[in-house]
Amino acid sequence: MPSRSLWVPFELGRPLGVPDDADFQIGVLKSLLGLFNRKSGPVIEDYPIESPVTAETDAAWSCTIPLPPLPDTTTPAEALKQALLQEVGSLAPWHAESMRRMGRTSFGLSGLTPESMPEVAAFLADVASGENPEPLSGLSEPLPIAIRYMADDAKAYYMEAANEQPGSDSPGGTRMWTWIYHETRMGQVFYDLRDRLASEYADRMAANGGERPPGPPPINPISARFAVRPEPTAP
Amino acid sequence: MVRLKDLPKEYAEGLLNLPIPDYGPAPWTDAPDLKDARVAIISTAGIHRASDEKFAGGAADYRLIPGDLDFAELTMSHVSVNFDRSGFQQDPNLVFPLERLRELEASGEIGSVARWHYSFMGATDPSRMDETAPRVAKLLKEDGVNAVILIPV
Repeated sequence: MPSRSLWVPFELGRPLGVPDDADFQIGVLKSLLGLFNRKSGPVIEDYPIESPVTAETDAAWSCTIPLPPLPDTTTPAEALKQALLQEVGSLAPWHAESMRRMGRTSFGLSGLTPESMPEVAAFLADVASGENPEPLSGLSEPLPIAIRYMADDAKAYYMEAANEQPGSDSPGGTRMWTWIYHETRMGQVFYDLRDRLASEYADRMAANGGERPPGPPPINPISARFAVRPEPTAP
Repeated sequence: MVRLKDLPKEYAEGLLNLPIPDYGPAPWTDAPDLKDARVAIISTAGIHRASDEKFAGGAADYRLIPGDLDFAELTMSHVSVNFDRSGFQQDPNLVFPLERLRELEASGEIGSVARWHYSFMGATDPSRMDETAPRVAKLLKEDGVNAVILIPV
């Protein structure tokens, strides 16, 4: 049968509008279910209520965990790895609190547990810097697909920890992604990871006479909306 | 979904240029009264129980999600890196409003919540689901479902 459709003005990934707001979600759902009463169609209606979470309200959001400075070490890669591990350590109690309060976590696609986050971070930093570390024990998939799932788990870890911190309401998706990619050491590692894997893929393509080499395209943990790496900030 | 004007230009153009399969006309069917409706959710968010096989790129299959699911069992393996998981991580009802449906059932506003719900990989070309969609329709009928809400993400 022709569908009855409700168009909603919310961010992609948020069709019910606002997380942790049952009344708002029920409002959307009742509007959708109400379309079943129509006697002719097709039907497409606009949902008239905007999400209270907007770019303007998001502008005030910031993560209270300070970005760790890059330590003075022998190489930039080692400095970034140390800062990353310090960052993960700062997030760890907030992620543990998130799991305690919600009784769940989205971490786990890699086959690992949130307690493995320091090892995941170190592994991703090593790969990003050009090393080829031994795969972690317990991964659910072989490399390179395991890198994608570790990156997904790292994002889940960061977002769940950030959402748990007091002081402000949780931001929308765009602000949260901006924080991850542009304001964290993990974001820097993601860009380095993308650049290394893309470079190696380009080399393989060149060796293949300019044609796509066999196999899937390289793992890329960066969303297309954030493809441009931000300008480096002062440590 | 979001307003096109709120998306980066290349993103909006990509969505506008997505091919849409033509399934031809379909007869109009009156829906049951909501108080008699047995409602199922079909999601394209790539969600499933953590114990299920993850979705792969181009997957046209689906995952069964039980109506008595505890959200602690739910995970998301949508293949697209562009896909925003932040809302789901905070509250799965945002993409899969199962708890909201249970509340509507408890208040008598809908008849019942289906025993089973279904999840697909939204990044897959829908024409690849021509074989699996009829199987899901059959399962829905056998579950007594007479109202389905499709929640794209």
